[in-house]
Amino acid sequence: MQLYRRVLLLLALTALAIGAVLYVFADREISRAADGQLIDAARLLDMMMQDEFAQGVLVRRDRVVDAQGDPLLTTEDEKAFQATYNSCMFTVFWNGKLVARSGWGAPVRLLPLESGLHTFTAQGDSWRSYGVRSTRTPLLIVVAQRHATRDFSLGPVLAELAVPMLLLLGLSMLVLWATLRKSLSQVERLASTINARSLADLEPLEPEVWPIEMEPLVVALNKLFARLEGAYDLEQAFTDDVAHELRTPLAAIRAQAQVLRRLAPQAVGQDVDRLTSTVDRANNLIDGMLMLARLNATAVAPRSVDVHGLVAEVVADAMIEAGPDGIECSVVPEHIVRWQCDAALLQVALSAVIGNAIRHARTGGQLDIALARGSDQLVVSVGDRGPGIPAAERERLLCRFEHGALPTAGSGLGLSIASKAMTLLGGTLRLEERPDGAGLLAVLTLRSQAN
Amino acid sequence: MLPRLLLADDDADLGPAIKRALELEGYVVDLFTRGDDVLAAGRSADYDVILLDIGLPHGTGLEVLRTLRSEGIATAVIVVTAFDRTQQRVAGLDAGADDYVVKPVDLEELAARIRSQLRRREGRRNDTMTIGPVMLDFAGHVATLEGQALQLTAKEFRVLALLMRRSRRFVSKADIEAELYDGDNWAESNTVEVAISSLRRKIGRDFIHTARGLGYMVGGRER
Repeated sequence: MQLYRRVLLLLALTALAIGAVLYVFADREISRAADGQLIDAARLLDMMMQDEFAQGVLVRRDRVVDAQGDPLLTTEDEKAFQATYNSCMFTVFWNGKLVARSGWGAPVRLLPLESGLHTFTAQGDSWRSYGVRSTRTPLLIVVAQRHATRDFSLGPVLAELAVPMLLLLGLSMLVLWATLRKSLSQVERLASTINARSLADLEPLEPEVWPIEMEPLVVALNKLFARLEGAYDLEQAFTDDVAHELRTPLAAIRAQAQVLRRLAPQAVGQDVDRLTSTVDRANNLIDGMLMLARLNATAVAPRSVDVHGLVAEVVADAMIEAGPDGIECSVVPEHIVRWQCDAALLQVALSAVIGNAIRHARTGGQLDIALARGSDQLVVSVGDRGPGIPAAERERLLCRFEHGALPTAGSGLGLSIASKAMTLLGGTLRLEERPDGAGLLAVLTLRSQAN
Repeated sequence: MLPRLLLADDDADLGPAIKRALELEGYVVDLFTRGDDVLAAGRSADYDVILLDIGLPHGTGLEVLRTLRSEGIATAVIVVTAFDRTQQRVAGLDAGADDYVVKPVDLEELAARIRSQLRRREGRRNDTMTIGPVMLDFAGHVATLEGQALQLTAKEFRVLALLMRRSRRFVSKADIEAELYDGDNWAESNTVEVAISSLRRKIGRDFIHTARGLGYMVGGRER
């Protein structure tokens, strides 16, 4: 999961940054402490030499020009100094002349003979030096030590710290991952709860069932459900109104036409019949539009359905509706075929497809329906011997309000209603050419609910 | 005496048109447009059938119907409405309607439904049945076509009776064979086909629909 990775990466980067900052600060502090040691060493030397000055060496020194006179530092002083600061070399200058130095160390010419802290290079190493001038005498003390001896501490400390630190980091990553996973699983549960709902199911979620962190989401969803429900109610009321308002005048026209048919002379009879069928077409269109509008609000309730029996009912209704004619209809197989699906929606789809086929079958006079049940799908194919539909038109016909090029008595919504119902059933509707001659083959495919 | 109908419809065009059409059918029709008027008329006068619109002003059709039924008035009521939802149909029938028709209704169909209610009011036993031109008297074993007696064999009558009892639905060949089974010997394999083709010859080709794999069916649009 993307979020897990991002959060864990962030944690690792934060740990690394904290480590780096700690290292820089520790390094600076150690360096400062080492500089303090150099300064202390220089002060100690100065203090050691104060005794000699007090004993009058200073007076004589003014007269003595060479450095071979009385030493400023006794051998004991030197030993004591080296015992304390064994990593520090030292040099002492009197009026710019070297008068004392440790038995080891960097060449004098390379030393920066100035007061203060300096860094220089000698004998292939980097050195740090500290020079101090006495305020009362022309004395300059310079102490120095290799950088290598100063930076002793961090390496091993870091090595020792690494294992517990990494363990701690790993542990916190684990805890964080588990926490994230737990909260995200709640989000996933919410998503699957909502996914499982049908369009018409707008019951609010119960806030007590969900963790407290999810409350804003649950509350927002419930508000959305309430708004959607309002919109649905409004749409239902609107379609009911439309149905009522449009049907009533159509009914009046139809009734008047029928009265006219009875009273009028034979000559206008055909015109009145045409008027009646126009009204019927308008009414079919309204029925189709209402059906499409209401399909959206249909709650899907799958159960075991005898699809063969349903086909028989639909064919019976369609044949009665079509009236007497010479359509030859066949259905294979002859026995019950059961499938788990919503019966009402499947009936809507079958009615639209079979009604359409019977209207077109009139010209060819043949309607062939086949049910093929596989392990994971049920295919109902409905073939007529009508003129068929050109390949380019087929997709278009599955969309709302599209008529084929051929005039029919249909509302033009039949196939889009069937397509919509099949989508709600989790299946598909395809229009194909009949492989065994002229005509249209409508293929309804239902997939197993488990898939 | 001519049957008397109460027609309740508030549409200025539709009400008069239906009234006129039904009068041509030979009924006496009183038209009302308000719910309260319908209620008053339904209480006082003796109508044979009430044709009731749901969307009436001053008392909806359903309110009028419930009130009439609660007062013990049992006049046959056919709800004629543009509301076509299943729940609306159920509500109408639950309120006490005897039939429910959705507009725009075919006037011939409406007339057929009125006749059906009148027959029920006359207390006729439900042992005759009419589909299209064919009338069957189950008890008397008599069949007529356009009022003329049909000469049918016993087998043909049993097949026709089964198809008419289960009209508007396919009856499988196996079910018809079972109907013809007389307890001793099974019908011969082509008995059903023979009976059907004989019935078609006597009644007309289009009266019995066939679909291979489904069976046989009678029934057309209500007329």
